[in-house]
Amino acid sequence: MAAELNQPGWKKLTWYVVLTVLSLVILFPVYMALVRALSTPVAYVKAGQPLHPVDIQSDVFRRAWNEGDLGAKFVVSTVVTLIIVAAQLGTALLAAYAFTFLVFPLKRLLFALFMATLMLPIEVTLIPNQDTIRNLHWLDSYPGLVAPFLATAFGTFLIRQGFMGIPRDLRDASQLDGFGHLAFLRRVAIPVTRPVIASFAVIAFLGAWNQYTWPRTVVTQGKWETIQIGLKALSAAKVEESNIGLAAAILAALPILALLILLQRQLIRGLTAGAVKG
Amino acid sequence: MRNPLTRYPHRLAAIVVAACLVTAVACSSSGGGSTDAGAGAGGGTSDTVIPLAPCPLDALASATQPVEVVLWHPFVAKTKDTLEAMVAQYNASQTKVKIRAEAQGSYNELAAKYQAAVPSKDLPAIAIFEDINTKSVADSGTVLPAQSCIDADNYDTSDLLPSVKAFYSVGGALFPSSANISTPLLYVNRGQFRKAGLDPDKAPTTLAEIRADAEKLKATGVVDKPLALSLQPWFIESWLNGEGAPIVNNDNGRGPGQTTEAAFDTDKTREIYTWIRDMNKDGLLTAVPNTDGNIDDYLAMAQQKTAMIIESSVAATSIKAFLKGDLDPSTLQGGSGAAPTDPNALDIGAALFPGVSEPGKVRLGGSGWYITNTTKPEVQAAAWDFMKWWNETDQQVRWNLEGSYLPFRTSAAKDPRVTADWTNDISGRWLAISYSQLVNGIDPDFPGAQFGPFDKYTTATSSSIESMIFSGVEPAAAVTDAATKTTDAITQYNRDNF
Repeated sequence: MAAELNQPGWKKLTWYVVLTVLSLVILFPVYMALVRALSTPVAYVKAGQPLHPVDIQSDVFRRAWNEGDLGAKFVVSTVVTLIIVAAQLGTALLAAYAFTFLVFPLKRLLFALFMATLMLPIEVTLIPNQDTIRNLHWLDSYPGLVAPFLATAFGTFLIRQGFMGIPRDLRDASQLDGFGHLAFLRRVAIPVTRPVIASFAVIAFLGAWNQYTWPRTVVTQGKWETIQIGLKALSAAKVEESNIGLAAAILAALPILALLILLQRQLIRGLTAGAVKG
Repeated sequence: MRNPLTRYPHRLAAIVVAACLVTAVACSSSGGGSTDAGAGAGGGTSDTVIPLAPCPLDALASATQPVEVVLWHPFVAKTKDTLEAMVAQYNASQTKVKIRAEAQGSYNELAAKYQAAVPSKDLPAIAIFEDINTKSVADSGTVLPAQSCIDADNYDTSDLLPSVKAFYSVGGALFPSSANISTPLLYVNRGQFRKAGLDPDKAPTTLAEIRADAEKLKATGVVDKPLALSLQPWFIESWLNGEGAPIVNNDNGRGPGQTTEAAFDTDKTREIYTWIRDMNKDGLLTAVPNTDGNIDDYLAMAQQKTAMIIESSVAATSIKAFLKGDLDPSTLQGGSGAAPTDPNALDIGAALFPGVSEPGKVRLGGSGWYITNTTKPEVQAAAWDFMKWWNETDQQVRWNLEGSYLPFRTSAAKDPRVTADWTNDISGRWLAISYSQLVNGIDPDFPGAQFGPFDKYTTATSSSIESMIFSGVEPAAAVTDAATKTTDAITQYNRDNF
């Protein structure tokens, strides 16, 4: 860190310029979404689709909220996402703990099988899962929306990698202190790997919040539609109202943005964990 | 215009087999006939011998409490609002039936969900499918043909448009109970026509005239790419249909025999493909790939980067929206069509769909409303009651004025509210042109192809045109490729009986 602070001015400046350009590149699509959301679509198109808003409609977000009935959809999406994130954290932590610290027969094979499920895209399991949910009479319900996503091989893998970084000495020490499995998990393993767990929570949140295919498959009634289904309906509206869809998309992205800001520190620590070893 | 009903033929076959095992009743009453005759009989699959599922008309009268009818539709935005308002109106008008309209996203999503629900018979009472799905929906054995109820109810169909009845009939039986109808139109930038010294009231009527006008528009420097062409198979079909040229054998799929192969690997199709290729090669055309939500042709028109586009009549209201601020309100609401004072103002008009040799000859598009036969008898009867109401003149008028679809019955087109709109409003006048094509431009004896894997044909056609435009494949090779893929799809459909 000290070396960075002592960098010569021109070097620092170069870095700032590069980073600023990169962040502009990344933010540009977001900016354009905002421009198009605020513009009156027909006037915007006729003006040659410029980089600034044309004929601003300040009420577009309110209209998107009302026309898309987004309030109800936010509630469904929030409940679904919270259940999925909580369940995935619970199952992934326990499974990762078992695969890291417990000794049992066929451990490697079971783990390999676990990982193999990562190779199955949702398209492969869509129809059988849908049949199962239908037979359980769970269409148009919270159980139907969350059931296939309560456990995750990816989260297990990620957290296991984190657990494997815990020194053996730490474990031995806690055993001497009389910690059982759960106490060790709760008081040592989780605090030590918190950045990894936070990263996973964000990824799980993103995945659950942005789901489209599965909810579309098990929902037939409007009141069970999630926010992403609502977005699709709005974005498919007519040319002259195309800004409504973009406004709704921005609204739908706000919770994710809030989460990223909230967990920013944990995330960066998760990303750089292991990078400063030695 | 993809057909997701048969997007997964193997899976579908499995589903249908499973459905037959589980629900022997449904299959033996409707689909069974063709299943038995199709295998090995060699051309024995005759649509006309399938007994129609019976219409349980009386079941509604004996129902003791309100019957709930679930309706799956693909509509969004204003069309969805209109539908829901009309459903509420029907629900309030009587006490026996309660319609519950449920939006399913898009035609593709609706069809995929419907197909997945077939094995469990957990189907809505009414579902709306795209025009190209007529045969595959009929073959699925899950629908109650409108014809059954028409016959049982002595329902008068004389006012329904002959071209629509013909298009949506399978083996002489009308399958959907109603239809949302559109036809393609040519939209032209009248201002650019004037600047190039062309008469904006004489829009091109044939492909050759489009080319001649495009050359003039380009040569005079008015616009660089005079035509923006959305590469929709629907337009190719309309050009072929207008020439009496079939897509498939067996009388374009409507004859008594079995449809076995594509019939469009002909000089006529090559002529159309070559026209597109040459227009593109000579810089007269912007090709707009046929992907979901691609509206580059609309945008080109709005920005005056093109003088002509071919689009569906349902685009009329969207295109009219571009005119706001350019044409004065009196012109928009039905002025004389005189030139705006500012020569650079956007001034758009619509004309008959240009044909290979004459204009206004089309294949109608849109979607059909199907009653399913897997629900309880009283639900089927209730669904029919709703469909009869939906087809009444008042409802068809409203569906046209607010939903932009052309009316299904002639009395609606003659209704004063519609004629006023079609005379006074600019997009209304375009719809009137579109409707005239429906009445005059479709031969009821040759309304368009009908075969199971229609979606495979549209996919093959789209990719063949794109290969010609973007990869330089020769027109003849592109046509042959599409025809081969279509024949393969038909062979597989016949083999799998779905």
